[in-house]
Amino acid sequence: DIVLQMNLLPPSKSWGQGHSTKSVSPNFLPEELITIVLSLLPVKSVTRLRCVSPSWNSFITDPTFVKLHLSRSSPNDRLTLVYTPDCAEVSFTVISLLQKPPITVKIPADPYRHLRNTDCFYIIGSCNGLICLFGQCFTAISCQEMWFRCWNPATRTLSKKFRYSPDQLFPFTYPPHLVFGYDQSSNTYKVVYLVPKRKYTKVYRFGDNVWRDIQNSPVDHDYAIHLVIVRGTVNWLAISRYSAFRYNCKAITIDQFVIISLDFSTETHTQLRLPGGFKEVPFVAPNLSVLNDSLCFSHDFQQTHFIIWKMMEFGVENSWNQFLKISYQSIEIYDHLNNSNFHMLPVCLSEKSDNILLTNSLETQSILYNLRYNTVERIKKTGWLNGWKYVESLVTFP
Amino acid sequence: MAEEVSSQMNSLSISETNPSSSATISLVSGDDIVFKVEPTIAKEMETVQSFIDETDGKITTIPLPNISSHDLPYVIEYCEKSIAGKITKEFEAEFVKKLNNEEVKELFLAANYLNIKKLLDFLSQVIADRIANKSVEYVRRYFGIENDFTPEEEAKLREELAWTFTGVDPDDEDEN
Repeated sequence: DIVLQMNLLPPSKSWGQGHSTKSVSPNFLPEELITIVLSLLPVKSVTRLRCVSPSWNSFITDPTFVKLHLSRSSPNDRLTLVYTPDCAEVSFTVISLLQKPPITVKIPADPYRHLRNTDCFYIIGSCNGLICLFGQCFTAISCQEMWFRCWNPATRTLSKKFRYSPDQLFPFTYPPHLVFGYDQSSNTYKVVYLVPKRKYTKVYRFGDNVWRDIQNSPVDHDYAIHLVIVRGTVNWLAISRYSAFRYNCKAITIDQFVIISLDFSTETHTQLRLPGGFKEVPFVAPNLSVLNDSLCFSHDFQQTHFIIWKMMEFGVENSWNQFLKISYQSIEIYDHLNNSNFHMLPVCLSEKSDNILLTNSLETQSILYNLRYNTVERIKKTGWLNGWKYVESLVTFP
Repeated sequence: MAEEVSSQMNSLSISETNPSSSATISLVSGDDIVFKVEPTIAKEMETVQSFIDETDGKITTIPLPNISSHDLPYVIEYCEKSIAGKITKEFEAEFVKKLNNEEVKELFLAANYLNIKKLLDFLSQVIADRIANKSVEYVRRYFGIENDFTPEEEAKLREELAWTFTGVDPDDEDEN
């Protein structure tokens, strides 16, 4: 006989002896299995379970578990955060397009999550369940101080104000070209500022609390309007050698368009070419967006169609794929002709239901377009040109 | 008694058989019931398959002392469905409907022991769903955790986390 020895079980854990004795000796799960279960619980449930015992309390609040919990939150729970500015207070709407009809949840519906008295009025971004807010205070003649705060609506925690003096960020214009992101290599959060009309780029790292100049952008920031985050990088569309205030299709050639990508970790810029199939300068300004973690480039085509390209593999220029070409007529848009202010953007996409949400400057409603059945539905818009990905997390701020 | 159980758990004794005698694999439960399964089923169970590989397929009878004859058929059923590509939401819902909390935990341990990733993922989600809205006391009982908070410590933490105590299901005692 061959006898194989294998240490298959964690020592000192009782396994129980089958169902017949279950009332006497319940099955005890080893720690590693309990960890798996806890990492799948919603934020509110797992936070309540901190009261189970002191060791659970320290375990659940441990950064290692917080990270595991974040990584396990199902992509289905990923919501799109929508900023609805209001003169009285800042409020947010969270949309889940995975359900049909889409579910919209206004975060302030829950009074505990209400963002009140935080002296912040602008969202810079959303990352790992943290929302980065921006505020400033003025005297009669000038801005005296600016600050950031990080807010986790799921755990109802709000960081202190990270203050800095406005002369560190000069010149400063609205809307500010600020973007919030996470640097995985150093486990820190950063805000990037693109100085308007210049190539200068500044980085603020939480912890250092000071603005640093980093490598210049390859192209002036004049046109850096729409900043999108994909896989640890911030990306924007630029037009090289173009300094006019407004977009004018007649003054631009196709080879002037370029995507600039700035890596949060290395703080270096990369240029990405646009799809080879993008051959005509569109009448209105094209845009970048993110759909399901993929960088997308969308533009008008001859004022008859709207086209979306998806970069299937981030950073690989050959992986651009025409994802959608749709006529304005089919989505019942007629008033865009010769309107140089017209713009349209995809906001989010549900692969499961094949719904894509489009927003445009002509309407107070958004368009829910179904890619499978080519159906069009108008739904209420809450000002979601800024749609950030939002996921509930246990992440806390130092 | 406890010693005997643990020494049994930490080793598997395997008897050599002639590989040509049978293409099927015999899984022997802790209570000595033999389950004959196709080799494809064994492939789903990484722990079993690695035994077979290590002995170049000479061993076809594998004792599984930690798994009872009550649980093993569930595991086999799940693996069969998995191979056939027939794991649907409906099947999974039916599958767990018959299982009480202790049985789910037993199967979870079995899936971990046999290293069946899909079953492990599925059952961890089942347990998470079952405890998500339960009280702290319920979860302590469920996992057999001793509460070693002082009453003051616990009261303080509960007060701090009061917002997480809304919408909790009342405990139903019949489910252990």
